Amino acid sequence: MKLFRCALLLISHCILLNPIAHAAPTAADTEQQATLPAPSSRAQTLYMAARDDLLQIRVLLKNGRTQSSVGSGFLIGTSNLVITNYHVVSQIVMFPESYVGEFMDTHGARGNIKLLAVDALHDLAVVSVTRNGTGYFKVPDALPSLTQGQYLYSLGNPLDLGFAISEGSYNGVIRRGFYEQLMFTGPINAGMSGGPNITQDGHVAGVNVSKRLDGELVSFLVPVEYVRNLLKGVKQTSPVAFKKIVGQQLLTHQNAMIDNMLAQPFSVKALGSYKVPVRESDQMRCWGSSNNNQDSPYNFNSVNCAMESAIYVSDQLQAGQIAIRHEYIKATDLDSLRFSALQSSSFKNEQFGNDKDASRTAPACNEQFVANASLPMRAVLCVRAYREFEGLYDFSLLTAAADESLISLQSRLDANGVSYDNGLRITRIFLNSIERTSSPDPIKRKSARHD
Amino acid sequence: MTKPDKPPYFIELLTRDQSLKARHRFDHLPIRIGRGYDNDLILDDPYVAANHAIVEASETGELYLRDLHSKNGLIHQGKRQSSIALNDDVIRLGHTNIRVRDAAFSVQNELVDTASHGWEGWPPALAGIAMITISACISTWLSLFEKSSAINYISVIAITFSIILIWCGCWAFANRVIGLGGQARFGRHLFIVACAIIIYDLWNILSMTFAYAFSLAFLTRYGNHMAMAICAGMIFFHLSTMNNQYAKRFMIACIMLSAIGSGLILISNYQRSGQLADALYMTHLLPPALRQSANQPVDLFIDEAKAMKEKLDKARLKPANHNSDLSGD
Repeated sequence: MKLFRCALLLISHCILLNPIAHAAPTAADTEQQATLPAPSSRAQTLYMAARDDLLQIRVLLKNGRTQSSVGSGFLIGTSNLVITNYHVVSQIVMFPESYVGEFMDTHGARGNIKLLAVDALHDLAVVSVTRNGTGYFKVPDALPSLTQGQYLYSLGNPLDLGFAISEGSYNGVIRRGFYEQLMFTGPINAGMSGGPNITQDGHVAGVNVSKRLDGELVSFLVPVEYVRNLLKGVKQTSPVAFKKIVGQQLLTHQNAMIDNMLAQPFSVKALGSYKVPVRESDQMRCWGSSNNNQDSPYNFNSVNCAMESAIYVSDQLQAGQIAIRHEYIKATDLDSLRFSALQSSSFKNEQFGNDKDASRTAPACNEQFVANASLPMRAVLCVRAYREFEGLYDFSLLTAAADESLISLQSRLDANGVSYDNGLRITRIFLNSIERTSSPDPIKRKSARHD
Repeated sequence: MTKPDKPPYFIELLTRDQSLKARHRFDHLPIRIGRGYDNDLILDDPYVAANHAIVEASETGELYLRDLHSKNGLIHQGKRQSSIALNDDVIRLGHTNIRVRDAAFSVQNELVDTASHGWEGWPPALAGIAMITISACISTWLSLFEKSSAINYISVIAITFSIILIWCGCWAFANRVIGLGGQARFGRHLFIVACAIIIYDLWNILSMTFAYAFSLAFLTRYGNHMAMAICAGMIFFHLSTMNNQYAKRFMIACIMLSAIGSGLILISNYQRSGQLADALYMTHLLPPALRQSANQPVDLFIDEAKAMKEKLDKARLKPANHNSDLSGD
């Protein structure tokens, strides 16, 4: 089973994260089709109080002014500043020459928006509009403390159908992504991205951002403290080069991510006669699989580790992801010639991207037979540069152990959206971390194997 | 012609491309030609007059063809003429091409026979079938990793042969219709295909072995050009089997064909992956015992990778090869 997670609330914009094998089966997910409790009178009161400061944010094509994506937003205090998600306005950031934004309030009034600040890492943006708030949504220095199970309310304009409020409960801080999010057990739908999530007392708890497509009512919020941090730096004059700002944020992010990842050596898993590097952490999960087929003339085992989230940059680009994969194949009833064909078919079946990608260059590759302290390997390193962001690259390393004729260990490391130095750094460490555990003398083992 | 012509005389009916349709012998002059039954040579061509033309000898003994006031006349080298001295040229009457020769016409020397007549028919066909079967079996054996049964092999062999038989059938048909000698030579054509397949297999084995043994990745990354050259060579042998008089012309044509094919491969590779090679990296792995080249230390590998940065930074400033903004996702 594959897990996909989707950045919500962008009608046409879905973040597909690396598929991860073997999700725990969701018990009884079919028998209960998530029946919602009837809206409480509390929700009614909150919506009536909040609706004047609730907005729909639309991104329009400059040419023809047709809408390209829609989300939600909310006015802060009595200012003209509106908080929304970065992914709602990412097209304005990436292609300012083609897209503009406008807002629509609950009374149907429209006006232009101006982008003032972005935080791509937490998926937040600040825009200014041509009207002021009534003071309902406040982001004070003292943030509300939340307890698990308490009611929360999400507001926004789901699926461009009309403004709505939905009720759910707070279920703690999630650290699966590199940046923490709140888990909200309530419905959030595409179009509600960027809308506020408030407590029963009307305090802003967070900003609607995404939901899991493979679950029921598993939704996520950006904690309000990041809203506060972003608002602190906002000036009324809009900087022009938002792409550069996002690029800087991505560079900062990858530095922190790689430093964090390499702060301690990789953990090691044993695969047959090899030891392979993996990383298991809050952000990274590993899944294993094998062919389990008695009739098969070979054994196959794999370990797949990937981050479950990435930084959404644009439709075509997600950055700041690390993935590690190892495949171990051992022949039980194959001669070396056919085994070579078998491992070649696996080695061949790798994608490194092409030259038709608008966001990244064609890959440049270096391939060699490389040996670390214990193991000779065929190594292929392919690197792509981000066209829009100077100094960011995708690194993909593919290796195949070259010490055995009837055992194959193939590994792949992907580091997306990293600086060249960090890419080389993690490549080098990864290459040095693949180990042969037993004696590296192939001739001796070869004779032993035929016994 | 200056020498007097001597009997017997021959009128040859030719096709539009000047190959022989029929030959008629005449022992006496004059020879009357037309659609009517009072002629010596009757032409069933509705564009030919009842009494169209006559072949006669001039006072000096040379043959000439005279128009008998027909509507469509005699056409020699694109021009209508009332009387034509005959000198081995083709003359058109209505829609019929004729050529007149006499007994003194000297023919060209016979060709030296270089064909191996024993290698025709069943022997080359059986050899070809054996070679193709072996190649198909080996490639199937190499690609079936799970438990395999005879049906796997039979289906591959059946598919391979149906494609090859259609291919050879086309060549044999062409050989029968327009080839020198007018035979099908199916066995020969089958053998040519089998040789091409075996040569391609050998090239694959050798290039993969050398590439892996000596870490010469380029050998396999440009393999499609070799396939193209082998294919052009195969077509050359098919063509020469049909008509070996034009071997030189065929060779030039096939070399050009191969060059054009290679050019197309390079262009499509560049379009697809931004580089000229067929594959991004050497995609096969062989038993480590074959290896001859030394291992590189990790540090050197990383140092080489550093050098790619400059190239990538240059490439990112160029626009993408294809405007994928339009294609959406």
